[in-house]
Amino acid sequence: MNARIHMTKDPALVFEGVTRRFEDGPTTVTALDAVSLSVAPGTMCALTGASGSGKSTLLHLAAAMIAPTSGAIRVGGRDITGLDAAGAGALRRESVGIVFQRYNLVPSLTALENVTLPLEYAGRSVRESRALGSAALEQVGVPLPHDRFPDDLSGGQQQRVAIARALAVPRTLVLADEPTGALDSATGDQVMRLLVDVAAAGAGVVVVTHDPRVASFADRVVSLRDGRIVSDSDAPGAVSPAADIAAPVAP
Amino acid sequence: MTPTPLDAGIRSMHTAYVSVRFGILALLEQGPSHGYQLKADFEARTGGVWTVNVGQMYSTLERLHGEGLVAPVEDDGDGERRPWRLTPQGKEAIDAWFDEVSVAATPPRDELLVKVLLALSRSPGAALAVIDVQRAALYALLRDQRRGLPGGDDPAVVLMAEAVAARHEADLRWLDRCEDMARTLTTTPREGTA
Repeated sequence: MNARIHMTKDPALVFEGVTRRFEDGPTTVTALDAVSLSVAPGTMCALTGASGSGKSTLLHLAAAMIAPTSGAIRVGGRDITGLDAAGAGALRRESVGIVFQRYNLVPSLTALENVTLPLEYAGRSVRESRALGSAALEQVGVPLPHDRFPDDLSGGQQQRVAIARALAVPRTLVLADEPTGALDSATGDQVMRLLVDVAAAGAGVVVVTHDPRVASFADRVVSLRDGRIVSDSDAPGAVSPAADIAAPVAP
Repeated sequence: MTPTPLDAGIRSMHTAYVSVRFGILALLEQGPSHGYQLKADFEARTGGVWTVNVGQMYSTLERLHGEGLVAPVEDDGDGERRPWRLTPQGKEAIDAWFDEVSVAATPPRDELLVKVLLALSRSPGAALAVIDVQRAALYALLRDQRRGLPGGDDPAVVLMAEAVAARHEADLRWLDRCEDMARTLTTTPREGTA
């Protein structure tokens, strides 16, 4: 996949003191609390953590689906913090690929059309889109013919179509939200190896997962709790721990 | 770096000794106690899955005394009922053990278990700190193991590596459960003490 992905010296993704709060009636929930993180191109970073830890919020911020309350976010060196809806859409069509747990394929479109739709929407010709789409499907191992509908494909093949859609144009950053969550473990391993290849070809890949097996494919595993990074496999022991560690229970 | 059965045997003996040794220090951190009470408390804190013979408890206490990590509470009883207390050196030793991470080799699983459970009896925050450090170390280990896999598709090599990976993954899942529990205890502090 080497020719398909931008090589860049800038980190694929940078979070600088990013905080995101949500208003929930009279209360404010801090989903992400001053998080700083840098993902190098050519590497895969897994984000783990319990529900509500902030890992999905982090992914949505990186995809410019939501904006941070404070702090700065950069993708391939470009500040995406203040993008409007149109800018965010363009970012996702051109620089940031997203892979979802439930594939999010359009059931009434063929495998190939699912991949080419966003390409045509981005202004490419039908001919160019079909060429890019066929190449991407072949690359991720979706068997011919490519004019089958999602319902006629296995779960693993549907996820491959979704990955082809995410990778049909060169990507700086690929985000995957529980990409193997709906697959059996052998098929899940294959999808993870595919994403490892995507990283090896130069993109930064961020995978959100609760599954240690999935996370173990990553070069680096970062764990979140209550909106903060609490552990990082690149720096075991270096993340400042909880406040009351040394307070033993009185006898 | 694949552990052999012999490694596992040596490790399990080592683990039993290490666990009792630091179990004693962790319990004495919470106040003076005597051998039989320490045995009962250690078994209770580790969920009742671990039985220690009382002779092992006394011999370990004597050894810790020799190293200056515990000391008898002065003039207070004798023999089996003699209470022991933690020395400042003992406090340093137990703090260091909780902070220690093994990234060079497969961490002894049972030591991980005892460490988390004893940390939880210190405080939920202490348990979370241990969990965070051990999780990062386990993920680093799992990654290094995956990278170090020899090429090829010898089924025995592949499955042996899977066995080691499965253990680490199980430990990581267990740490997730521990984190859930510690967080519950943090948000709803228990009245009174251990």
